[in-house]
Amino acid sequence: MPGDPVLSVKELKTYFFTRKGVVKAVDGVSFDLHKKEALGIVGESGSGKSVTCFSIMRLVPDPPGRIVSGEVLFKGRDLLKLTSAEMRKVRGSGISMSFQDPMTYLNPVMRVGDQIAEAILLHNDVDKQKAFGMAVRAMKFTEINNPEKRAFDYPHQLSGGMRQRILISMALACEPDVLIADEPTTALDVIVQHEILNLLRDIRNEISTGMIIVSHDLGVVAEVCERVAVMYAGNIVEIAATKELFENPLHPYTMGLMESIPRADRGKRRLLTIPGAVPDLTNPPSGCKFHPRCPYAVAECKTQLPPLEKVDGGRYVRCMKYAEILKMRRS
Amino acid sequence: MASDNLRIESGVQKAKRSLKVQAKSFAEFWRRYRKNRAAVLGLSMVVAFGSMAILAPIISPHNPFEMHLQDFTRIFLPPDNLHLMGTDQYGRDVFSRIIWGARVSLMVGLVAAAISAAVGMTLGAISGYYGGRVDNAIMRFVDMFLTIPTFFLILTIVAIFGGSLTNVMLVIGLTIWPSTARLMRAEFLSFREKEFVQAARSIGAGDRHIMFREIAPNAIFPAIVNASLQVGSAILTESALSFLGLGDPNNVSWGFMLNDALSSFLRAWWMALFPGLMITLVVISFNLIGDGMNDALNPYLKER
Amino acid sequence: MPGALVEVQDLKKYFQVEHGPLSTHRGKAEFVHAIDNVSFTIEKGQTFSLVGETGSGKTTTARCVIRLIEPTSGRISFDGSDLLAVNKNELLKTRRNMQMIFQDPYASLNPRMTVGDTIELPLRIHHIGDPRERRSIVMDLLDKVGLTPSSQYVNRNPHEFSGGQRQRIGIARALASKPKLIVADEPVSALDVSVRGQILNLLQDLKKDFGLTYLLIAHDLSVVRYMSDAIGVMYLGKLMELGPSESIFEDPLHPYTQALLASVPLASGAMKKGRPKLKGDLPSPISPPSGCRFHTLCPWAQERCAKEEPALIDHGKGHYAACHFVNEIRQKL
Repeated sequence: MPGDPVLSVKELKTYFFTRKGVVKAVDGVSFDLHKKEALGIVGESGSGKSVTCFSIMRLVPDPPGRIVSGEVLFKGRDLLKLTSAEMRKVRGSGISMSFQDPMTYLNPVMRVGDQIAEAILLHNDVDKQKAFGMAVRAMKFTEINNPEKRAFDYPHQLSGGMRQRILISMALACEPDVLIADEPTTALDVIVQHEILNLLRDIRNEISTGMIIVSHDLGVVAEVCERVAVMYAGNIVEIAATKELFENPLHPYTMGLMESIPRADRGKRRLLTIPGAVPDLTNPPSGCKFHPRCPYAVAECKTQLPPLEKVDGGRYVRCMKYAEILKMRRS
Repeated sequence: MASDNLRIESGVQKAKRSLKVQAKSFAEFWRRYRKNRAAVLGLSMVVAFGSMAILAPIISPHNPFEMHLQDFTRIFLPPDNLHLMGTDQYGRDVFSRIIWGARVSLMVGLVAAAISAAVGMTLGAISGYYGGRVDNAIMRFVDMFLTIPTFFLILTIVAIFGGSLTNVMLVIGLTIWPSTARLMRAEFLSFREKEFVQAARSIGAGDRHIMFREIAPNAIFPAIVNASLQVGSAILTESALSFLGLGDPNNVSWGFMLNDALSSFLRAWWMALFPGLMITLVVISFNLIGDGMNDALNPYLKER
Repeated sequence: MPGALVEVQDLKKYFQVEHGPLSTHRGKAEFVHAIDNVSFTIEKGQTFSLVGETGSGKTTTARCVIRLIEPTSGRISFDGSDLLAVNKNELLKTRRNMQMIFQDPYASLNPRMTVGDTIELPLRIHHIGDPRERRSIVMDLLDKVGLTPSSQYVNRNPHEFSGGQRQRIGIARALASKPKLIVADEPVSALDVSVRGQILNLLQDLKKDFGLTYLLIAHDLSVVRYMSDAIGVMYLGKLMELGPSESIFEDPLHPYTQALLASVPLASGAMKKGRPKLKGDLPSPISPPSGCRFHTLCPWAQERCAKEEPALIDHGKGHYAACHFVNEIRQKL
């Protein structure tokens, strides 16, 4: 992608200070996002993918959470250094977010058109009528049928897929530079999920907004994004172009993930699983956090957290032994 | 191999184990409760009042019933060294009466709350579990109770049947149970559809097992909190009844002391202050306990 | 039918819609047609999956099969005998042979019972063995589902376990009474992706070791394809397609099945047939569409589809589809 990144996250660390200890939810995450680019962030529960997004938006509940260090550069400015008032201006119009479960993120007693208009009114100096008209246009953009009528509906009158489209409309209403979609399809049925993914792809082609799609479902991310970052226990362990990630994963966790997921287009051969479970983030393993579960771990892996190393243009891995592992697999 | 780890348990071992498990969860609950200073204060006060009530015969400096009628040197005495809280119009030592009065108040409060808990929890559980017509019938019954002004109902019954302590406890207990019933019903309704209940049903468990062994241990918490709050309100009700003269005249009751104080409180402020203060303190302390339990149980519930 | 463990015939389940006393609907009884004339057979040792979206009726069907819900009408035969005609005592005995695994590992275990007691429950209810024997069975089961050494886990409470471990406990509970049939309602959808494989492998191993038959409810088609021998595709209470799993995945006949398969992320090959875009709004289960229930959304719908409900017809080798135009659609794709 040509040009400077519109969003640049550098060594972001967000910790939660709880009675049971310090949860290092995000422990040094860095990535770039360019205009018109769709980046996928994939990880399981505890990987820190959602907390990363909330940190970028500065929506982390404080207490118990706090962004302890790092930079989030948006169009040159470090968002972490802005005042609350300045950050509020950025939210919704510069960077906006859509969430996983539309039913809990929509106000049940407000018409959906009004809710979208609310977002518009917060960032634009227009009157209510005009804002409502812009809201309807945003709904049309997310391919809702009869948006003029639907705008007067309440959330409970709409189907799950439509509610998700409303959330996306709200996020896009002020034409942000970055859209973060957190688990946009998790609560939806398969066919509706497919339609939402189509919508996200269409949006990506039509406007220059940069997108971050967060999901635990590799397939979902693969359908929309050209680059994918895999997160584990608070760190990014691999970033690669989608095709490359699927054809040639370099990090043992990514490899394990690929092998353990049943794929409808693969046979019935037994799934090779990753032993153990996601680590306790109050007491993560020393060194590389994946080492207790890694079939290739050696003594070094226990002592040092490997850096995110550049493999070639755009491809990064956080593993000391990836080159040797690659050779092993090829032979 | 399973045989290497075989720990075949006898009935006794199983009972011991289940006690240990319960002790663990109680310890967790207690740790949380302890953190709430107000709740601990409430509990200490109740323990203090309770000890006072139990030890009444020992610690009471005078006989609370001992009257000195018409002895002007002993009636309406302000607080002094001999009578820490003064004497009333009959020369009775107020301090002793306060100590003995604690017995009545606490007993009425606890027994009434217990009756309310027993009736309310049972009806609420049945109503919430079976639903349908049973639920409708019981809830209409509850509504009936709620439409009748409770206090006037109590007044009427006491006026007709007399104000003995037993009557008072029974009547109060049998009129405040609706709130407990509702809480229990709500919990049962919500747990009825939970998956572990469905699992028990699919295994073949009958209604009794599901109600008592599956749902009740989970559903009981709000009702318990409510019960502790009801102790306070039962004490208030009993005091009000005695204040109006409808209680048991043969027992010392703080409410009755207030009744005595009515006519003379302008010149004997100690007759009204001390009973009033005690009632207030006891009710507050039970409220603090109730709130404390609520807060202590809530995060515990979240761990489910 | 020989070899059949479960035979469902013409199963119907209607739920009455409740209206308050002041509602305008008063006087007219309305029903949600959750299941409307569904018939299928599960062979012994098979994994049969019911597939469909929300509102398809698959979960309701599964619950009817183990009589957690009472069907409105129809016949269910389990291991040769009529399941719906038995009295309470016989039903209790039959329940030993069919058990269920639930979706939400955080809600399917009683938070106030130890893990050991939870697993022991079926043994106690069916009076299997004395307390000592039961205990040893429980320990053994914990080992079998991968929670070893069992002595470390047996007296703990559910909240001390992860989602995957809780699901293993649920599976141990289901195995306790040595059932013939296990109904698994979305057994892995609430679990982390990397744990799903472990549980699916466990289920496959247990099936072989214990000679189990599975009725699987799942919406994730990849899981379905991995686990199933036969599939039934449901839509709005009716079976649209029924048959051997590979046959359906390799050659989906019904437009709804085709849309489902094509919607799976990273679908490829035979699954990508057509990618028809569904138009229209989702119909209501209270007044379902006339004729073929799918006709309002079907890209191939003709006049006949609105008037006449298609029957499930065998298109060869036990692969059934309920559509008037199977062959015509096949040719066009």
